[in-house]
Amino acid sequence: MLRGGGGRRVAAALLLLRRRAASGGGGGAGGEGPARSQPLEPSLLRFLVCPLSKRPLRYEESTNELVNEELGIAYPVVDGIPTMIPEAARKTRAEPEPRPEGLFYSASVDETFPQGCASTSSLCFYSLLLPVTIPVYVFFHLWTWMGIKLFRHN
Amino acid sequence: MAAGLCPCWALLGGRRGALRALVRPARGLAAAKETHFGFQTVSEEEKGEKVYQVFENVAKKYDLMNDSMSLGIHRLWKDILMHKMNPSPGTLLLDVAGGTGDIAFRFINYVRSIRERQLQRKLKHHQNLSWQEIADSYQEEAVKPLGDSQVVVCDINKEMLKVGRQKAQHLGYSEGLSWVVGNAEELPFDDNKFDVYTIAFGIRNVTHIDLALQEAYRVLKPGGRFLCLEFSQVNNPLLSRLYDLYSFQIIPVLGEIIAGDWKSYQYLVESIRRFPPQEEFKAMIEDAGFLKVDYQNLTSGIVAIHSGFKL
Repeated sequence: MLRGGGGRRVAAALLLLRRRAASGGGGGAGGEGPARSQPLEPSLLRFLVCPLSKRPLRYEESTNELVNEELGIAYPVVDGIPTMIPEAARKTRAEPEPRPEGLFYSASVDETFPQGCASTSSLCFYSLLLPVTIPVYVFFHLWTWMGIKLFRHN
Repeated sequence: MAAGLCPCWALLGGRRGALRALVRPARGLAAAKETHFGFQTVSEEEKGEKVYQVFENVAKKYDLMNDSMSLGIHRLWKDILMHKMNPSPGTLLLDVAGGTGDIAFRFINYVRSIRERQLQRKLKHHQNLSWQEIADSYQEEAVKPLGDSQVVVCDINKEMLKVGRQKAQHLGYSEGLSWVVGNAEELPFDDNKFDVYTIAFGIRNVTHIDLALQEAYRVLKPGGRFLCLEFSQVNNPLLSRLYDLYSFQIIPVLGEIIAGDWKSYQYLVESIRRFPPQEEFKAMIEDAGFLKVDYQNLTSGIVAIHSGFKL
């Protein structure tokens, strides 16, 4: 049951040839050719997505990789078998330069201020507190002066 | 006197124990989450790596070991799984942890034989056709021997897939078969894609079984079937004793003789003992969202087939 009969294999091979001729030379079938650096079967592409984000992938023929543009990672295709595990993926774009951060920097030079500073994880969120320091300063000195002048012990 | 002393000791011991109890949670917070690897306790990252190494070591001799350990009965189990699945031509199968491709090959054979029967029946009806109908039949597309069925074999271990692909080339399976390296907990497939999801003798090696079950639910089409063939608890007490004896005394020795790896097969029999019993696993499958979950014991519970539907 596991061994295909000789006649059946020949028939299957003939059918394959007819199909390939009909479709004008489709992707490499698994049964022929050397196994090294085999291109990916196009039929697989309809199923594969990125395991992390579940978004569709683009097949890059030159490097034989499946690229996820959004996350900037590429999964290699080794021996015609796509390796869809995050540990095997490589980053396609270089890490962005670390932007200088600081309260005054965000308020003065940064273009996305204040719309881009909505999350508390960024430092520029707290630069929204800068204007508050002025009335606080004024009130502090006002009350200190009042305290000194009005509540002096005789 | 002793009675008088005892409480003091107990108090001291108690206080020491209380101190230790204070220290332990702090240490516990630092340690990673733990799971079992056979009878050992390891951290979760370690389990994944160790399982990978186990299968990397045994990949070449995997089929031979299967035959000798189960005395060839594993072929029957897999055949029964295929008959239970009863796929029709045009079915899309995802075989996870399918490594050497046993289930995939059986699927292709099954679908091919059904398709041949379909074509034969069609031919019988075509004996008395008009000339117009005969001319029309020449316009039809090429005969599809598999009827558009396809199977995707997914495994986390590249070595197992390589062995499987070699086997496929050797046995002459060329179309309808695809190989992908992927993690069962994070499948690289889109939602609602597959008609059937199978995992044969693989789910006990997954670190987070519930994640694998959730992923299975995700990639299945509505109406799709989940099938799991796995070692389980034996319900017959006499057979259970014999089975334990066989597992712990004979299988690791066979592993050493045939595959040259005692430890991997020790892990294998231990992992079988650690896997939840039939009812518990059925509850886990129901938790993932599957309906009409059921199980069938084979060989008195040495192996069980769990089945569920995404409805």
